[in-house]
Amino acid sequence: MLSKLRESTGIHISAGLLLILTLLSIGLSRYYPASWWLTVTLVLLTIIKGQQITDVFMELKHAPGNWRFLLLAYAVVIPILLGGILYL
Amino acid sequence: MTTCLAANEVAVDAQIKQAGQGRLPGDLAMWFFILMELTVFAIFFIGFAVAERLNPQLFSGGRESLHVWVGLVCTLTLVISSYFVALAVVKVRENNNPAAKKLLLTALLFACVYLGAKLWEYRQLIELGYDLSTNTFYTLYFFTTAFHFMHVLLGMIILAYMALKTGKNVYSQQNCQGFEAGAAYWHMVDLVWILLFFLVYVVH
Repeated sequence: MLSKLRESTGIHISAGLLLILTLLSIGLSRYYPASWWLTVTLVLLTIIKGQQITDVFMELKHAPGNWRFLLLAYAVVIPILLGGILYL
Repeated sequence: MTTCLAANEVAVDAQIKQAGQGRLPGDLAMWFFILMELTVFAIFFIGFAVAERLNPQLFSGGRESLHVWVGLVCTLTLVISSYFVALAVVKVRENNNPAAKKLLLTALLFACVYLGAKLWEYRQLIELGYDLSTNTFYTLYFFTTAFHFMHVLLGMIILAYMALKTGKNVYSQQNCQGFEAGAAYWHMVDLVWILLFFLVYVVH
């Protein structure tokens, strides 16, 4: 019962965070002109969103071996790479 | 009596924890397929970013013709849809197929909103005279988003199949690998869109 509650609570919190970060991304993108700090912020927000999906929704936080890191690599490395290509 | 009940609850908790954690959810084959799909999308995204770097004015102009609110609606609906699918996995592990079915149908409803918003945006762009051959931006935009759109359609078919099976009480705590694999695929679709949203609608 307790772990069921914990599992569901984690999903609720993660979904709320994803929605807030999505709105924040759009807000920052609309109200601020293009700059390196804005790009870094948007990349960070995207990384957090990707991490939430892989760890909480995909349930890879406690996955064996390197599965978590393989999926997290996509959520972390690709946004950094894209930001780098566009603004460095 | 109370102690016995508490001990039993702890044992059930441990069982559920073991069912959902400390192992790879779903099928190993599905995870390899997911990694392969993510790699293909990553190549598209890098290609998109490189093309933008080579021709920033073209991409800046192209982005202005897109509807930011469509990108926002698509992101919100996919996140909410993924949320309901994640909750459905929890319900299946509790042997509650009827609740899982309702959650899957809700997830499908939100996925339909995504499809509607995306199709509306495609129609608007085509009516304005933009298509795959207009310029590099539209070629990459249509190709990448349509490729993702096809993955959403496939994911919806998988979710619908899972909903049908939950209607027949097929899944249980001991038999939920297929359900977890289908859910993982849907979350992959969501993960890809998060990056697509960043690349196409957010960054400028």
